[in-house]
Amino acid sequence: MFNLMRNEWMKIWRKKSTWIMTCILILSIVAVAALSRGLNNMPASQPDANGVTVTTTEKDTGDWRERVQEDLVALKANLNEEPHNKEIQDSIMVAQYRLDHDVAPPTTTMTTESFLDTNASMTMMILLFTAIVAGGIVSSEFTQGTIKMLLTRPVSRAKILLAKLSITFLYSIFLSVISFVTVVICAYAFFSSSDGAMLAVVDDEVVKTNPWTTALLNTAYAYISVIMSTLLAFLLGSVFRSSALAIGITMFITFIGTTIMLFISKYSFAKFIWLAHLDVRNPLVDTSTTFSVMILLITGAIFIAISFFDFIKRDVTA
Amino acid sequence: MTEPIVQLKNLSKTIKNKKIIDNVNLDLYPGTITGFLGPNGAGKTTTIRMIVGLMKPTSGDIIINGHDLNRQYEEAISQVGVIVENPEMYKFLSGYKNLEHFARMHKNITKERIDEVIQQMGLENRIHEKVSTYSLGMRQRLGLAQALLHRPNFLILDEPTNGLDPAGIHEFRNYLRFIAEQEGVAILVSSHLLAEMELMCDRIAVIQAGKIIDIRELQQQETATHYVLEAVDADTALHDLQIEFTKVNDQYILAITKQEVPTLIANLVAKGIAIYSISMQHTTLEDEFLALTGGGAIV
Repeated sequence: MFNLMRNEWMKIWRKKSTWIMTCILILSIVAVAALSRGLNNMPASQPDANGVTVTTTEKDTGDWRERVQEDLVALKANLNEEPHNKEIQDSIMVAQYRLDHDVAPPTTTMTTESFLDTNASMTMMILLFTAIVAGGIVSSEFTQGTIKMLLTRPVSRAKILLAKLSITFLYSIFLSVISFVTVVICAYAFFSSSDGAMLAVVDDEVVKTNPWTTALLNTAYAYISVIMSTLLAFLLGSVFRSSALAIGITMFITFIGTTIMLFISKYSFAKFIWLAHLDVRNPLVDTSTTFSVMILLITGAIFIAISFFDFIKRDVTA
Repeated sequence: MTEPIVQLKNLSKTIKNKKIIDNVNLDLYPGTITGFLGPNGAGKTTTIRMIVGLMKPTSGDIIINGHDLNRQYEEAISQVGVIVENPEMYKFLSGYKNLEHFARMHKNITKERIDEVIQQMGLENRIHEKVSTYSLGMRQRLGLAQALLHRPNFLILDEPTNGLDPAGIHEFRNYLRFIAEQEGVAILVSSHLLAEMELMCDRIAVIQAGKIIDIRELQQQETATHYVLEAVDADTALHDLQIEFTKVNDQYILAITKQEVPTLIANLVAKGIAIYSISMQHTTLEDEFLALTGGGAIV
């Protein structure tokens, strides 16, 4: 099994496209960091869309209490309109806590800590690149004709497919590590640390949150989409034996999925579609987290089962 | 004859209600090169794909080294080396990386074995270059190299001489002979080059419309041989020597053995007959093949 995985790893890295994708990922993060810093350095003091004056770090520190006080008043007004909104209740708790315990909020400009959270948005790119590998790793063997060489060995088809699926995930983990390391380096290279603290409400208590855990947690949740898209692309690639079709359909479903779900969310079957549960913390249909996780697990298992069944059973005529 | 290495028993394959392979029985023996002949679409490739497990037979059994391919796939296939149609290799990898890749899928293939095969196939010079830069002939050699890596005792080659130059074909033929005779490998070769097959194989199996219609040993020379004599007015002389002949234009077709040839020439010369040439001829496989398959298109 280890030898099979070594083979697959070697094959993906001997292709130029793999290197290009990895480079694009790194360059994109550096570009985002450089552009955000460019925005930070612009002379501030014009009010932003919400009417809050954006100022640089030094000017910011003096008047945070006033701003929080203003926010608190506004939030309480909102709460009167929507008395059961948990988000508003939490925000009020946090604001009150800041004033009571004299804890400054993070500055509104980009800091090392806030840039760490960029990592979660990079998973969309990792999703795209992993889907490209997943859609091609089986189908390319068919289009090259090498499948004949690969399957006439004393190794079961199931093991070969398992090696390919594992390597696809290993590649996405590799990209995630590369992404995180690049984000951390950029966070320190382009931005300075903030003195403020991020707060959140956990179990009705206000606690300080660690920007590192927040960033990693957000990434982990976003990674659910990566897993589902990878399994889908892998399934389509091994069933249709065409990487273009596999990647195309996967990307279409991934990007249009939310829109589709909005259209069909009124129907009761909508909650059984995995696309509704990709954001388990905030699913598109009204269900429990347990149900969301169940649907994701079942869908994933079905994708894997079909891929394996088809790959093992089908006659190879390529 | 010795025990067969490979046995095809009542092999059938039905695709969409159409019987592609119909009750094929074929045994392959160690040290024997068997030619697999048949017109296009007769089912050669389908049969080969079933023998190596790429396709599953609708009914019938394939026994390799005493293992049923369907039930003990890994044991059965571990002793098989194969090239199905063109030897398709990873073009973005070097020849060496390709061999390394396939070697990892078998047990106990050492670096020395890889180097040995490379040397046998005469690939040393460009083994570290990408396969995309190889000529068709080099790809054939590399294909054969990957098929031989694990020292199989059963080798299946589909159109192996495709793309080799005459010198390469000659070398290849000798090499196949060598591994068949020295290492006792059973070899199944499919080809459309009938003259090639005649030189290469010990026996041939002819398949047509999914059925094996003939399996025969290819006796080298001795039988079915005759000599063609080109001479002027040799009728009476041949009569006197009591040799049967048929005359076609100025050529006499004689049913004599090799041993009789020198005496005949000496006698004819003594009688003052002018001999322009005498040559051996035997019915070619092509003639027989065309007769068997009714002259269907062979490509």
